[in-house]
Amino acid sequence: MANKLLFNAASVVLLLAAWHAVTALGWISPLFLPAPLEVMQTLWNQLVVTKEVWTDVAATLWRTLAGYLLGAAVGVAGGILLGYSARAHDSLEFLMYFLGSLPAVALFPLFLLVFGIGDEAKIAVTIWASAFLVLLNTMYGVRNASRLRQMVGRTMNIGRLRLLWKIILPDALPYVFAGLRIALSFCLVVIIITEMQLGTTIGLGNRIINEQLVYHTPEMYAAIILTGMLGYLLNRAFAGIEKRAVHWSGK
Amino acid sequence: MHHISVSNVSKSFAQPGGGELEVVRRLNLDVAEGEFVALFGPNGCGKTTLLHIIAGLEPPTSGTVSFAGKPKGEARAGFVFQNYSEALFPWRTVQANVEFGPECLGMDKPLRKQKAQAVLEELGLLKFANSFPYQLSGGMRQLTQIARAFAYEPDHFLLDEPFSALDYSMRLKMEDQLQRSWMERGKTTVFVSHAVDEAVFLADRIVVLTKRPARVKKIIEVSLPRPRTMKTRKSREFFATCRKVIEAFENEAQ
Repeated sequence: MANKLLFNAASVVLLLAAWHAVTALGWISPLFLPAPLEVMQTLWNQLVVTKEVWTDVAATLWRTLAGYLLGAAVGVAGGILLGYSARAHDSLEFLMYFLGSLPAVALFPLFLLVFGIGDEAKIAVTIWASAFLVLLNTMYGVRNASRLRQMVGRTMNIGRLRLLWKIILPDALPYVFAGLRIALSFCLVVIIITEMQLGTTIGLGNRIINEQLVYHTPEMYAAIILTGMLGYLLNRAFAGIEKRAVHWSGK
Repeated sequence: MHHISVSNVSKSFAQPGGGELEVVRRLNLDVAEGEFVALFGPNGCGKTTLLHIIAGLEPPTSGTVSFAGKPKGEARAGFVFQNYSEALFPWRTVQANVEFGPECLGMDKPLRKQKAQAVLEELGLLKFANSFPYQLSGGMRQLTQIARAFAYEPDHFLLDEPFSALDYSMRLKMEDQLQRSWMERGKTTVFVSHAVDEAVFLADRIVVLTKRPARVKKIIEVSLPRPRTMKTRKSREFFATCRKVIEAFENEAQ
């Protein structure tokens, strides 16, 4: 455990050192990559002194989680249906893969038209983006649920609904969580991209694009690093939940 | 009185490449109330299929299986699968696994907890009640599966090579435990085995099956007194019975 912390700290320090070396040696213009110290100072200033980034962090976090949770709900429900009912699967297979393969972000103009320029359009795109990932994984989980364990249920005359609820769904849970994990990272990316488009004045994506347009490169990198940290923390929190929820997975 | 009657049962499976694979052919078998019958036969002869047909997990192609005193579909079978690692629910503790049967019967929480505890105590599993299956050894997992079948309070037990993945000493312990539980409960039991000594140790009668498609080749009565012990296993009569089973079997092994 202590070793893990040490190695992680070492790799971060190494990366910062390399970054510092590249900028100090003048290999890259500070217009494209400023010195790490400058970026860190900017970040510290924004986080602790002026506290100006917190509204952006909150906006991005709220949009990401709203889109993610709704998309996950849609994905799990759809995945159960398509995994359990062969008829639903066979009649919706093409549509599912087709719609799921559409680049969600490219549909943003359409969503703006339908939902207006507020948070709704951004959240709707995120739902779209995450639902497919969760749906696909849930569907595979349900279809790959152990035949033998279903047989155990049948030896005890279990009904169809109970079979689904008590055996197939718990069996599919590790797959569902695999989908949820990928979708979470993806949702953050999608929200950042939509925030870089029109329709908002807050959010980390908004901050990144605004600073970029006026060549405030240290501020831009500060916002990018903040996004990375947000993604890291979300993933860590998720991993903690996953470990409890599907503790038997891989054992 | 016959508890389980298998009459004229045949089973064929459609093969992927076309054609049919006949697995069981016009098989007749009567199992008496409270009797312990072992099915013994060469690998792939259709023993498991036959057991699944008796359990109602697969319909026979023709023929019938009936249970004395129970209308079709109402006789409860306690089924124990060979693959204990997969057959248990890994998301449930040992206790919750054992409560699954009572749950299916619609018992309320305190009652099913009580049922499960009683069975766990009988099988010496109480100290593992709150463990998850993946934390247990193979033997304890299979014992948990047996406990789950017991707690379902079935009319008869069907066991499909339950001990074949265990090492010899664990197998002896499990056979001992199974005999004790069977003697206490007196429930009709059909046990698929591919170990001669196991079949002889446990069964009242050993049904030797032919190679596929399975028919009854020979039925061997085991008259060894119960409870059978380690001493029984070393006795002349034990080996003589084993010999009979092997003789009935030898031409069937490919």
